[in-house]
Amino acid sequence: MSTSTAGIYLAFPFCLSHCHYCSNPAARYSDEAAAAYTAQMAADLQQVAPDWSDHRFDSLFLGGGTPTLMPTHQLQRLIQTVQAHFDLTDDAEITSEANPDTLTTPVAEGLRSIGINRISIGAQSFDEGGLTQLGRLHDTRSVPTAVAVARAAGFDNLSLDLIYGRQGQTTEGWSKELAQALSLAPSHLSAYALTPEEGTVLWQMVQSGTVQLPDGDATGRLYQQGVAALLEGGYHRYEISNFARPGFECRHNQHYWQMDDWLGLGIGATSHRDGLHQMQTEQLDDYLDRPEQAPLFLFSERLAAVERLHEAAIFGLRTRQGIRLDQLPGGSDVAQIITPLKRLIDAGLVTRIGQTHVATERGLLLHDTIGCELAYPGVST
Amino acid sequence: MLSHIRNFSIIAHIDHGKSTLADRLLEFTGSVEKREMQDQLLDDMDLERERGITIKAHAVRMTYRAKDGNEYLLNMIDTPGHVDFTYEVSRSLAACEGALLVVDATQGVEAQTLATLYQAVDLDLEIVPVINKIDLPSADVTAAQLQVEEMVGLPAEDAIPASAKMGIGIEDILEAIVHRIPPPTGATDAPLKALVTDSWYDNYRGVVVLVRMIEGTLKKGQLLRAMHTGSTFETTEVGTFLPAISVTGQLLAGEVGYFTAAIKSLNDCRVGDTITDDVAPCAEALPGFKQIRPLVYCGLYSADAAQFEDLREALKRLQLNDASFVFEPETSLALGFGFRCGFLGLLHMEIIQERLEREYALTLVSTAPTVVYRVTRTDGVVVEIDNPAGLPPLNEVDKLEEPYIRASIITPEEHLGSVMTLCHERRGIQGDMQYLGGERVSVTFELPLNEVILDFHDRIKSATQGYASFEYEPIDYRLADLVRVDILLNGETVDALSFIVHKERSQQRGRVIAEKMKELIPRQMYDVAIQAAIGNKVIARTTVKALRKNVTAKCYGGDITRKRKLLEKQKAGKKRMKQVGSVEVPQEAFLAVLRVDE
Repeated sequence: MSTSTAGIYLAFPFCLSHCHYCSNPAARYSDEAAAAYTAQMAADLQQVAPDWSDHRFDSLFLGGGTPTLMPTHQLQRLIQTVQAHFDLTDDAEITSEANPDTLTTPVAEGLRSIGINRISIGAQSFDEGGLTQLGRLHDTRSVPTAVAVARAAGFDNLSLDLIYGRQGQTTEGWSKELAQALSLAPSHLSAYALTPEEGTVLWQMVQSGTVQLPDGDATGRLYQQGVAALLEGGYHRYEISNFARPGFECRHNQHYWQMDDWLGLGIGATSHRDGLHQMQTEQLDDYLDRPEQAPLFLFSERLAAVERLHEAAIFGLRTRQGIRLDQLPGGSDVAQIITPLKRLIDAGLVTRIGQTHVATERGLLLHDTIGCELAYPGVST
Repeated sequence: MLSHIRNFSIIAHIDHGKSTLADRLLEFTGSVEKREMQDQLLDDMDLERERGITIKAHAVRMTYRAKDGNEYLLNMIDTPGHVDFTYEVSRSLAACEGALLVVDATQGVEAQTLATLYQAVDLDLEIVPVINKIDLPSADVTAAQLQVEEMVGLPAEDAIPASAKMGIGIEDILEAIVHRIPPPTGATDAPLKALVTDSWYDNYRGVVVLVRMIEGTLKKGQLLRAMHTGSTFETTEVGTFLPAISVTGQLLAGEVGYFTAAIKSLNDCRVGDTITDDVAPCAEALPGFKQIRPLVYCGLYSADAAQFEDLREALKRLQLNDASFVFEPETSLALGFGFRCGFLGLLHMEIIQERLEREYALTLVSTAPTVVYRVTRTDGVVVEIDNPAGLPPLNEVDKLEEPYIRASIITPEEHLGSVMTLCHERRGIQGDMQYLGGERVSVTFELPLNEVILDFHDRIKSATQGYASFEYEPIDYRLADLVRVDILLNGETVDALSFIVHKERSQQRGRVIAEKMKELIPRQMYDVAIQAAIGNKVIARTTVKALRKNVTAKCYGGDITRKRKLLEKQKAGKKRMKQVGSVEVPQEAFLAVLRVDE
């Protein structure tokens, strides 16, 4: 039973093409598939709603894939379903992801008209070669256009995604890209290090040697360069890869790092509720053809108390807020992470400010090391 | 009927077809039905089969009706096929009157064969040369026969051409065994005298002892004595291998067979010992018994400290069947609780380690192998050091001696130069050199064993493109100018990484090992300073820089579960590391000494 608010995530797999780095399930768009998908998702929302009647939701996030490929009226139907069957707060943050090339004026106006109040644009790069390398369909000029279109449609809360650490990326080039992003004055920015996930086109290219990504040291330098430029530009870093003007932090994503509850529907979407992780199928066909009596979630995993503690501590340490030992789940198990935390403090990866533990600058860049240390302290001794 | 018994062994290099020939002999004499034949029947351990070598000796009795119309009992006594087991080989040979010398018609004679052959000649065995693999296109039968003539002094035409694989020449070989190898001698009514050629632990029978009867009779219920160990025991079962066990109740002079008794440990009845009657013993024991001692030691630790007891249990079980393997508990500051283990040689060490990992599902961390040094301290006390960490401080050492071996190497003439260079680099002293014909040379070197156990075998092979063969025997201890090099991680000496090396090579070796450690130790939270030092003097230093970036960039809903899986993967990786102070050291780093190319 959660006392804090929760979020809802709806996943839309349809894309015009598959980006080289993307490991999310993706499907080719067709009107029939989109209609069937919407119908299934609406039915699922209604089905699970009674289970979530004790939750207040202050965020709804439409992610993908490319949610903006969906006809606006279908998105509207889903938002209305949420509003009708869930306790969605009046001031809820309702975000949609969008690609620069498909965010036309009618689309943007449509999104705004159905209640979406935050838009996250996948700019990814301001370098033509960079976009080609990432397998993006749009060019750099479409990003300012998309931003203008969104603003004109009434989106004040606007986020840009950037990806750094590409093959051949120089500090000079990255500096120019950052400057261009800043010149568009988004209220929020995410900057991700390019990561070759297994099974992606990029992963294959790295394996075969056709692409050589910069090493960890070089990517680390690009990260720090990005952080410096964005701080300078008036943004603060509230999570490892996320930057915002004060008051524009993404409410939805903070639910994840705080290990609040969230409901996720759509293919490959995961939910978390009180230590129970669940996931829907990643196959579009299975999603659309699910027999009536079949369970909604294909995978379920109930975390042990100590695993919940680890998750809360690990993900909390991704954020500027950090963690408070007295607020972590796990009761007396909390004692187990005190020694590892001390070790991390000694190593300069974590620091303690009053009751709060936060990752240091170095610790943010070594967050996986922190995670391993917290979850498996001294496993080798 | 002693005149109808023949006891023989097969001498052959690895891969020259010993096991196949043994199978054919069993088949031809009808000892084994064809359908029962599993390839290479005598090698019954998986590892033996995989490596194509015989680790334990066996003996099989065959009945053969010869062309002269008489029936003969042929006892084939198998010998272990590796350089580490020279002593066991010599005892198996001592149980025979003759031996088949199998030479590969495509390869010629190898060092190992030659060394065993010389042992057989020294024991006055009748040698029957067999030129095997004559069916292969690259076979050169005449050249092989000529080599045999030069080495054994037997007329070339006495060597029997054969192909064990194709079944060619098998009858000729059996006839030669019957007519060329003399029958055993020895009176059945004399006091009992039997040679232990092998012993092993059987889960149902306890210790099984394989003996060659020299004189007298051995019966069930008889009270026996092992003359060297002094142990006594009452026999509970007596029989032979056909190759299936056949209980006969007694063994007579000249025969080969087994007995069981209430023997607790292999140590009570060791290979080479003489078995006699406890009440009416024979006058003197058979010659040639040696208390064999391990030549090579290493530390074995379970990677997971929780498996320590499992490791102890596994070592105990392996020792039940291998008296030449010793172990005792030791403690390392770096690795925790483990065992110092002694082996006959490197192969023996590898086999034991492999069996521990494979048969007992243990993950091991092993330290680099070391020889046994003899230290005379300034107070006159002599101590043997089987762990470099145990070497007393230099100011307490009066005299330091190391074991030497005599290595016999046979190499194609064109590679002789590289072999000589390698041996000289390893402080070798050259002995005899002999041209064998066929452009091959046999050369002996006296070498410090220390220089041989690490990578000598591999180096010989690469220097000669795999054509050289190598065999060694321990000779003596000699004074040596040795120092211990310690490896320090972040200022702390890691005892398990210390090694002993000749003073002249210590600087360079210290540098190379420090560099190798830098390659093997992954970057971690802190800088890791690596130093090599002799005493207080640092001879090399290098640093593994702290990890700079190790972070998942994107971490939202679905990533959270993935992230936990990733952590579990990292945990598995951490399990293969040993925590030494604040440093995580991967297992392979403890063998870095073995991995350097100088």
